[in-house]
Parts: sequence; C-alpha cells; structure tokens
Amino acid sequence: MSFLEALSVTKFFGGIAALDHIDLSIKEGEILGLIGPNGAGKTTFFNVLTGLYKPEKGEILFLGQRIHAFSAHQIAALGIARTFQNIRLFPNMTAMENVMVARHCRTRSEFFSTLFMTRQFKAEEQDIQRFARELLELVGLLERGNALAKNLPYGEQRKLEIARALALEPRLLLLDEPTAGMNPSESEELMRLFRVIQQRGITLLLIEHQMRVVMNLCDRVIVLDYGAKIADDTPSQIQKNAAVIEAYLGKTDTHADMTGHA
Amino acid sequence: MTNRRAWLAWSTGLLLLIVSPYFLQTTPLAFLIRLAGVAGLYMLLALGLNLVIGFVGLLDLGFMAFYAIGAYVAALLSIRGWPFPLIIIVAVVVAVAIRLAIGFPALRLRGDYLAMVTLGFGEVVRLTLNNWDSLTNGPQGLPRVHQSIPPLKLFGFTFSSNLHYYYLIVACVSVAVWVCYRLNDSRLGRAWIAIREDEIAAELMGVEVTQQKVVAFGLSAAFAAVAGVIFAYWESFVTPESFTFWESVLLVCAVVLGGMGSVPGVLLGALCIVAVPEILRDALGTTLANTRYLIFGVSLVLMAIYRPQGLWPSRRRTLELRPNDPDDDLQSTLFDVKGNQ
Repeated sequence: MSFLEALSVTKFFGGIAALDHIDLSIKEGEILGLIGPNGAGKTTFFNVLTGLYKPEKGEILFLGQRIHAFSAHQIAALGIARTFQNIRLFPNMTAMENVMVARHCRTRSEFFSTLFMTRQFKAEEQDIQRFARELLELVGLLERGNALAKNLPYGEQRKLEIARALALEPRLLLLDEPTAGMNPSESEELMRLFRVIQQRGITLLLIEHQMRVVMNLCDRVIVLDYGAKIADDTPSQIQKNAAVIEAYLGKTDTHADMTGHA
Repeated sequence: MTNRRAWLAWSTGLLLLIVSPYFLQTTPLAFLIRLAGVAGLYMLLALGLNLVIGFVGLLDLGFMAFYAIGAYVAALLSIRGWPFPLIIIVAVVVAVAIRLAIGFPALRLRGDYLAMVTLGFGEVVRLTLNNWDSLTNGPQGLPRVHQSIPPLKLFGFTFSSNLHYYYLIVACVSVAVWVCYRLNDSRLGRAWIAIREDEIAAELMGVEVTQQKVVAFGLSAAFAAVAGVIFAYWESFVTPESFTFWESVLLVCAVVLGGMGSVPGVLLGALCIVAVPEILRDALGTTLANTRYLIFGVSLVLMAIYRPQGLWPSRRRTLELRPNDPDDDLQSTLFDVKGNQ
C-alpha cells in the first residue's frame, strides 16, 4: 500500500486548469519538495490534498483511503496537517491555545464531562497541555506560550504554525513556503527542525522558493508549471532538467541561478 | 493565585447579591430588586447569545425568538397545571429542537446570511404568536380571560414576591456563568473560539466546524428558554409585544458593549442595557424620558469608536510553561506518530 497517491488530479477555476492531471506519489518518511513558478498550482494542490477544494477529476489515496471525497476535518484526523502561505493562526488565542486546538480530533471530552470536570476531562486536559508544551519547546517557543498569537513576531508565528500542525500528530505534514521572509540563519534553523520532524517518522511535503533549502533538504523534488507536472526527480537532476530551467528562466543555456535564490 | 483571587471576587459578589436585597425590600429602594431581576433575565439571555456571537463568532439577530418560545411553552403548560420542573425541561427541549431545526441548514451559510436567517426567524416567531389565535390568543396574550398562570412552586415553596424571583434568577445566572467558564477553558470552548478566529484554519486543524456550530447554537437556545420560563411565571402574563426585533438587537448590543466572549463583560453589558435607560429616565424627568434611547444610542456609537473591544474585554487564560518532566511516564507516548493509530 502506498503512502499517498494522487492519480490524474484535475482542478478547474473557471475554464482554467489550475491542476492538470497531476500524478504523484509520496513515499513514507521522505522529504518531498514541490516547486514551480508563481501560479503553477502548488498551493492549489495543497488545498486539494487537505480537502479545502474538491478535485473535478482524479483521485487521491492516502493510506489506502480515497480521501478526495472526505471533508477537511476528516482528512486532518486521518493525519494530514498543513501550514499556510499567508499565516493563519488564531490571532486572539495564546500560542499555547493555538497548539491545544489542534488536539481537538485526538481527544474526546464532550459537554457533560466538561461541565462536571470528570476525572477523564481533567486527565485529558493535562495531556493536551503537556503535548502543547512539548511542541512549543520543540520549535523554541515555550517561554512565549502565553503571548497572544497576533503579538508574536513573524518568524515565531511561522514556527507556531508548525507546532500547531504537529499537534495533530500528522503522518504527512504539508508546509507552504515555511521559509518565506526568513533570513539565512532562520532558514537554517527551520531546516534542522524539519530534519527532526522527519526523524520522528513524519513525511514532509514542502512548497519552497529558496533553492538552497530545496537542494539541501529534499530527497526528491516535483516541479509544477501551469498546473502540470513537468519534472519529478532528485534535486541534483532537477537542477539539470531542461524543462525546469525553461519554466523558470525561459529558453537559455545557463542554469547558474538555480543554485542560488530562484 | 489569580485563580483564588477570582474565586474570592466571585463569591464575595455573590454573597452581596444574596444578602443586600433582603435588607432593601422594606426601603424605598425596593424597586431595585425588580430591576435587578429583569437585568438578571437579560444576563441569562446575553450569556446564551454570547456563546454564539462571542465564542463561535456567528451573528444572531433573532435570539428573542427562543425567549418567546420558552415563555409561551411555560404559559401554555402552566395554565394546564403542569409542574414547574417539568415545564423547564419541556421548554428547553422544544427551544433547542427548534433551534437545531433552523441551525442545520442555516449554519452552512456564511456569517451575513446567517444573520438574515435568524432575523427572519425571529420575526416569523413573533408573527406566529401574534396570529395563531387558537393557541396563543394572538395579541391579547396568555392567559385568556378565565384562566391564570399559577404561582411558581418548587420543592413545596411558592414564589410570591419579587425577592423570591430575584433569588431564583441569581441562582440561574450563577449556573449559566459557571457553564460559560467551564466551557471557556475546555476542548469545546477552544474549538469554538478557534472557529471565530479562523474558520478555515480550524477546519484544517481537525475541528468539525459545522457540528460544533450546531452544538453551540443549540446550547444557547437552552439559556433563552430557561429565561423565558421564569419571565412567564414572574409576569404571569405573556404577549408577543415582549419579543420584538428591537429586543434582539438590544441583546446583541449587550454582548458587544460588554466585550464579546468575555463572561464578566457580557454580564456588565446586560446590566447596562437594562439599567442605563432606567437611570436616564429618572435623571431626565418625564418630559425628556423619550430621549433616553437616543442618549443610549449615542453612547453605543461612542463605545464602538473608542473602545471597540468592549467594557470588559475577554482575556485568555495563562498556563504554566515549565518544560515537561522527562521522567513522566506519559511522556514517551507523546508525539510518537507510528504508535498512535
């Protein structure tokens, strides 16, 4: 059974195919990069994977289940978590609470156990807090836990989104431009974090524009252009791929820029 | 420490609320007891509405409909001699059932459309009560001429004065406050607030958004129904006039004025919408009495401009942030993705 398999996934906006028969498979445990010029359909693909959009054609199999018909919260509960290109935290909740919310589908307390503070409720609440503290510690935000999310600086908000996504205990983590707007040392720090996450058995799929990150981190890279998959290879092969270079730079015979910032 | 202080503040406040009216009843200030009782009913309503507006972030412009349903169920059944505890249960069940019937289709709509549906439903209920003569006696209200709503009896005690109702209302508001506080720092409350903050992010973090909205929506109707039942017994008379659109709007004002999502704020807001017009009426004398709503309206506009977060804005709870103890035996199971199925 494959980990995640997208078969001929197609999504239209108006008459335009934002995703055009995308086939791809993700192997458990790998770090897979998804790159492409602006408007290539990368974020749309994330939205389809997480159930925010329903594809017009094709199917998505995750751990043997056809998830493209599931609602977004069911897909989250199955183990696909994500971060957002434009940060979408819960701004008026504390950093701790942001992470605690994502424990929702892993916990059970309902109305009456909440009201009467049953032992099960208290134990579960303890567990949620413990979990949230551990994840904040992992991303280095523990001492900021009681700050409202909207008051955190940009870089910390990005990290908080990752901690929140991890609180779902995902099998697959989708990261939408996690290093956007980060300086080189911050990107470096995030790359180390992604390695740690991978070591914990979580598969990563990331949209990334910084080629340094893609080349150092990813086991495999998929390139989208105008909604179609144009390459699927190792990072070093991608750098030499003529179709990819053309998509980014137009027809040319130099690819020096591909090693720097794209 | 803050916990203990908050507990102390609440219990002192409660004690004052219980003891002081007892001494007021023979003084010229006895009218305050009735006023406080009315404010208490509005607090109950505002706390219910706050679950929907303040927690989940859905605008509801027809909340009085469920107050009306509670009041009419109480009036109809008490005339037929049903006991009070049973009436409370029936009223809550009826109100919640109707609320859910509206909620299931309506909660799939986006915010502004939901506001329109609830507004429309509020008017439908009022017009139905006004025109269904055979059941509700139309605009003349209940009870009919040769009938009466019997006094409220609970555990052999008969409620006969404003003071008795005042104590009943204080008890109900206390329970409602307790329910809201329990919810605020729980799995459900966090999910609701997350929906208010960012519905799509909440859904993608595994919160069943529609289902949670339905639960909050239903629960809020229970608050309104209880308030309605007490209202019917206290007034021993109900007419559709008490449940106008204007009242629903006032309730939304109470929640916004006090501070959306904040329990003390909402209590304060409800107190303001009941007390401020009364105080203004006394202060302005009879000739200017009609301008009191104008002054009230202007003060609301000023609030919206200068203090949009409300009189007593909600504050999120602070939690202990000491790193987890590595010796803890639960520790090893956390974040163990493969082990968790």
